[in-house]
Amino acid sequence: MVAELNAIFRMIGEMEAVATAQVAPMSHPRDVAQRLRADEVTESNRREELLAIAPQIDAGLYLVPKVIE
Amino acid sequence: MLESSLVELSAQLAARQCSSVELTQYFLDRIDALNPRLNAVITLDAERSLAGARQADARIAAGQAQPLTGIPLLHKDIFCAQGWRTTCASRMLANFVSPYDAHVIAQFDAAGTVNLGKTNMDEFAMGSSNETSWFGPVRNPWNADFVPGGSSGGSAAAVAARLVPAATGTDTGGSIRQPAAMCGVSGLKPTYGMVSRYGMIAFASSLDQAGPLAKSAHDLALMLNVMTGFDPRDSTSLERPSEDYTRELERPLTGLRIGLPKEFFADGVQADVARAIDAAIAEYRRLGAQTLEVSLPNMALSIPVYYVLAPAEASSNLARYDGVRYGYRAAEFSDLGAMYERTRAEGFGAEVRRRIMIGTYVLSHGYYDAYYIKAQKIRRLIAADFARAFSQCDVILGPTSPTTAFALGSRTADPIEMYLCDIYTIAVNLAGLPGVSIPAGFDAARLPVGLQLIGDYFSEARLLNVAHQYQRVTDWHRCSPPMSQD
Repeated sequence: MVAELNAIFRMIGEMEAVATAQVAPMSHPRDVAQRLRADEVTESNRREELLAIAPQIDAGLYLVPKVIE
Repeated sequence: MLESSLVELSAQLAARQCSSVELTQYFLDRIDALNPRLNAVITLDAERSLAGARQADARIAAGQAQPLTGIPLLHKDIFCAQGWRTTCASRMLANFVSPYDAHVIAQFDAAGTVNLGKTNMDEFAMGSSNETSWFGPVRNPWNADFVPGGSSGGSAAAVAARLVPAATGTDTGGSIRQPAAMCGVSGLKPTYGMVSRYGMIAFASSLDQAGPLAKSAHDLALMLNVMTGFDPRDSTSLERPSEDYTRELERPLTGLRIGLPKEFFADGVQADVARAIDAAIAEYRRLGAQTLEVSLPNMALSIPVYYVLAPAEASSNLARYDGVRYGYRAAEFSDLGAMYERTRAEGFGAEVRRRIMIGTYVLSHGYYDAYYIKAQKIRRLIAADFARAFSQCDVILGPTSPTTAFALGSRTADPIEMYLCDIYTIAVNLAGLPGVSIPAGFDAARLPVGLQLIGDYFSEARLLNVAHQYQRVTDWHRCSPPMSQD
């Protein structure tokens, strides 16, 4: 795994040689802004359905190993 | 029914020459007979599919059919479908029954199509050969010892083997186009933002896009008509007037300017592939198109850029898989940290773990600017290359992949060798442009060659027209693998 990761990082290192000082980063093809919506509740409470697919639950809570002694 | 297009099936259903139930049962029987040799399908639910078919028949009888009502489709197992096991071909989600529908699934449901089942894929869509699936590799219907391409290998193989008339896939770095090319079918990645990603299990959010695989460009257009449309639940979904993607199919190609990037025709292309593409170019000239050389000088950088951006986004998207609320949880752990570590180490395959680690590293403090931001800047240079090219031409043409399908296991030792499969497809995702792959011939071993057409933003109708006109004068897209006739 380590050898492969190192090879990939060497490959990625090819980017260093490219001149990008005057270039703005591009995170979205169309440079659109994040759309906002009204702060209103739109989802319904589907708690039982969603708990039903959990690995371990109890009294409506997800069970995990104890975190705080 | 075996070779019928979506157009033909729709007409047969409307004329009551067959029913949706008959069609559904026919393809279920084919899957039963042929899937063991391909491993293209992960999940079936015959009862559910037939119930959907009965509903479709009722709609048809009531005169409420839409163009694809009654037609069975397979969906890549990356689309959440309510009540269906949705695995993303991973141990992490092997037991996950989705409580909701992806927007794409809901769209097909509203259109009255029948959900025939979920197709195999590379795990979490990470791969170019469909060899990373927890459920085993998919085999190429043209030669069972060869890969079908990936990550939508199951969908491509299923359409090629005529297990289904059409299927859905997703494309982040070429995952619809490349398997379409390797399996001899047609596949389209739309402009980023045209198809909602809600309910489509996320790999790399700024690159992922759903699209159709089918036997022809006309069929792709019919599928696209169902799949596109604004969805407020996907923050990157674009609001645009609705289109009929079949509207330009018959437009003559006289005056079409086809750009041939010199970087697509350099060394490294398999001789048979180059020959087939050259023949296709000659065909396009006969159809009235002009060709001109263009250049995409930063194209080679698309691989390092992609292998920074996609893993970075994947490391964020896959952070949710922790064994707490759904999916796989390790059996033994001493504390919460160990539960997370063991769940993720056991739940994810090697390629997924590799990409999460790369992604986490390139986003980490001290490396973020040098890797992630740098890659975003080169991404803009790559997009600018395309913009420049599209000022000189209407569509760009080249091979979809440098080679035809390769033998199972032949590229798994070196990840970078596998990554290079996508050299011609990745830049299209980075720029967010639409691209289609259509069959253009075979190599000496009778393995399919794919031709890629790339269009400017939102030019899907024109792109499909250019593909369709080639399919009117050639037969490659009508060829089917010998095993599909068994």
